[in-house]
Amino acid sequence: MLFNSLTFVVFFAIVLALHYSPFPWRAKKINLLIASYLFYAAWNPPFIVLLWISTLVDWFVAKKMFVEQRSARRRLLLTLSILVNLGILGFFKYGNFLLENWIQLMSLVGIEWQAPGWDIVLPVGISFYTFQTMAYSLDVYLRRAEPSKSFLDFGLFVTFFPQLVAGPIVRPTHLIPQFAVPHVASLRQLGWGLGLVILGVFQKVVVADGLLAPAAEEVFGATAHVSFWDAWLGTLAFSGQIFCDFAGYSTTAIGVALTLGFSLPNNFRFPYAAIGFSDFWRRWHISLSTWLRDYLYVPLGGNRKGPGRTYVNLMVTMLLGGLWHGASWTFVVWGGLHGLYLAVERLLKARFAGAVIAETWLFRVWLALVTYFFVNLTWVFFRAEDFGMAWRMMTAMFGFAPEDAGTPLPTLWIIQVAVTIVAMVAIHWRMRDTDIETVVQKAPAWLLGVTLAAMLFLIIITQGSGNAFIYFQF
Amino acid sequence: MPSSTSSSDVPYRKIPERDWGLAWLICTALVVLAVAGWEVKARSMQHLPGDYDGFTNFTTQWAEERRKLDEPDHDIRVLLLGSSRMLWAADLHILEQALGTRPLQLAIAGTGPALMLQGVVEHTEFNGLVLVGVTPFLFNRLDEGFFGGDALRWYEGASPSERAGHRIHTFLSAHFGFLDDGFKLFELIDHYTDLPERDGVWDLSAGEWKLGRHLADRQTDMWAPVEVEGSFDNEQILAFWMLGLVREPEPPERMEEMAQTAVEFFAPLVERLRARGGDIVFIRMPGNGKYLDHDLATSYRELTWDPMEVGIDAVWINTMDYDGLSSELEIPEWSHLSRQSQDDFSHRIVPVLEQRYLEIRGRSIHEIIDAPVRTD
Repeated sequence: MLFNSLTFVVFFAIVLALHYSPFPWRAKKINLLIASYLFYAAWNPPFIVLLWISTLVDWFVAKKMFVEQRSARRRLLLTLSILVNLGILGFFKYGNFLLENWIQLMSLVGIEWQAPGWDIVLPVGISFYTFQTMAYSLDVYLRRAEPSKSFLDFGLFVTFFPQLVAGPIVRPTHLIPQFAVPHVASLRQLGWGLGLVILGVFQKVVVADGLLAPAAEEVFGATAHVSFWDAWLGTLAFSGQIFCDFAGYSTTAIGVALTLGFSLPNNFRFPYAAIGFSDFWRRWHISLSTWLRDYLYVPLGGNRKGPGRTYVNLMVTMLLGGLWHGASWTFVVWGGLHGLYLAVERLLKARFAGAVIAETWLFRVWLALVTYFFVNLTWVFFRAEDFGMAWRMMTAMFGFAPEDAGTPLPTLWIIQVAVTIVAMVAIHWRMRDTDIETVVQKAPAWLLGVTLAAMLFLIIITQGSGNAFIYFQF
Repeated sequence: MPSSTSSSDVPYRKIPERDWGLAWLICTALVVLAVAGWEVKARSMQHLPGDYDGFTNFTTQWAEERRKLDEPDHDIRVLLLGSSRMLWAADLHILEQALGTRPLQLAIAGTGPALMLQGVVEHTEFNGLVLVGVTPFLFNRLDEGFFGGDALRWYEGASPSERAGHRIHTFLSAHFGFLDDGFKLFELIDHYTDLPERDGVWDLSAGEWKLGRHLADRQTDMWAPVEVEGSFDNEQILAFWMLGLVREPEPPERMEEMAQTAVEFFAPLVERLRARGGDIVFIRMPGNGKYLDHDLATSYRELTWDPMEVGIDAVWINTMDYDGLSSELEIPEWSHLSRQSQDDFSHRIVPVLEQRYLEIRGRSIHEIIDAPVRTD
């Protein structure tokens, strides 16, 4: 079920009504659990079984692991959990990808093999809930947390509908305790939560889908070369689209949870004002980057095993982070580029530590622009269907487009992209060192009312085409 | 070790301490006023309530109608298939009166009837009469066309959420005109903004535009503003048609090949339907202006229509042979009938249909229409 759908509006109203009815807390949690399953099943009912498998396996594995003292048995149990979770993910998400690459590998050594026709449907949000449940088993294995005492709370942790299909990826220690005690939103939480829902849907429907998606789709849908300006405008449009699409989902999820009385962590902090790539990853998809840090980079040794190993760990983490986004080599390149950026940044920081110029305002602006420039280059690989497309875009963006390159963007869309991107980057800079709650805290109620009304009205008259959020496919 | 059940670790969110009651009161009041104003504006521009489908999405209503044929106790005896010309040509009420049964409208814009007919013949026990509209060239596309793929996907596998959303949208569309596809904010901006363009850039205002109103049971009428030749909306439609009409006429070999392919595809379907008591009538739908010019320039009738008529054992009606079904009708944008002409066409087609059927098959179409429904 999409947040930007009429079905969700009705569903959400019913969930809120039930949550604020005078039921005991346990009954409310059961309501939420059923609602979460309905939310997921509304897309494709049979895949709900995958959620049940994940829930049951991790529940029992964690319980056993917690009381088990023998290291070998604990490792075995953890392996079982990881195998089941990654097995499901691997089959549904990477099955076709692995098969295609296997066929190509075989053909390289002269073996022509006709693969059986697999038609695997990707369960929506599988990467998100798989990582979330794995975090639970890993936390218990690493003795970072005790297992939940309530199967109902754990089941709700795995399936909690606001963040089930596209995050934020929530840690068990963050969410399960909230289910243990009654949570109902105060009027302030309800008001602010609904405000966040409006803001999130506005980002998705009006900015991402309405203002930016047409230009991005036109440029990345071109089958031939496009000009320098069109390539850059298309890429900038996509940079804004992907942010507003994904941050819009996260903001809506946070808002929906808040209206029910639950607190979810921020997933974005104005990333296009980042100064440097490590700063970018502290601001972009925070719940994934911290997950990768805590459950992959650190267990690999992090920066504790010398400089060489640190760079390897960085690169491995980012390559796998890229692959997490999709079963395609273009995503691996996207992750690899970010790994490379982080490694180079680390190298330069070590080389020029303490340089006075680094603290000047002008230099920081320059660094931010450089960061934004290189981040945009990575978006080309993220969005391109294949390397041919990515190559055509890159050559155009570096000024090597052929003379007869196409100019597909109409003037109106150029204006839309330019105005939206300038406004978005300006807002990110204005908000770089603060947060939205602090800004809203200073605004008068009438201004909040007018702003919310403007956003809601624009959502209503844009209507939207019911486009799925981009991150649903990951 | 932190506990998964201890709330001490939970970083609760900051909540701005504002008067949210007042903020939401102001918001609600403003939105109600603004939406009311927007609705008034929509209606003043002829975007009226009761329009259930869009002009970039003909799929949901089609899928709902198609499912009626799968219901075990349906009493459907006449199907309408084809592309948009059949959709705009049929007044279901008039046809119901003339035929004695309400036809099921399964024609779909921008899409040939091939896959839809194949689905009906191969996956249902339908044994009634199928009236297939033939729009030159589009009829000969045996693929999903522009909207067929989405329509079939909706019919075969729309998610529960999508179907529920469609029902809610249908309910709301019955009351609000501004929900019309043609009144979406960015559609309006694209079509009403006129800016200088670089060479080779396509004109946004030449994109798809609202052509009809889609009422209950997929009764489709031409949108009133389009009927006015020279009007903004009429010009928008013509500009869109021109995108597809600036092509060279197809060579004769291609025209003959299209006919042969159509014969191979449709002939077995007609045979199978007839074997269980049903039948098919192919009706060439009228057109004029540059569409007709293109049909004539390519000799569609001689090179494609006539061979299909010979090769497929069905009843064929070429409306170009009947002034009342072609030249006397009003086709304001070269392809689809105006509302008045839709009524005229629907009144006039049935006698022609009855006569031609009797001539070719030696029996009345009512023998098929009145036959018992076969559903298993």
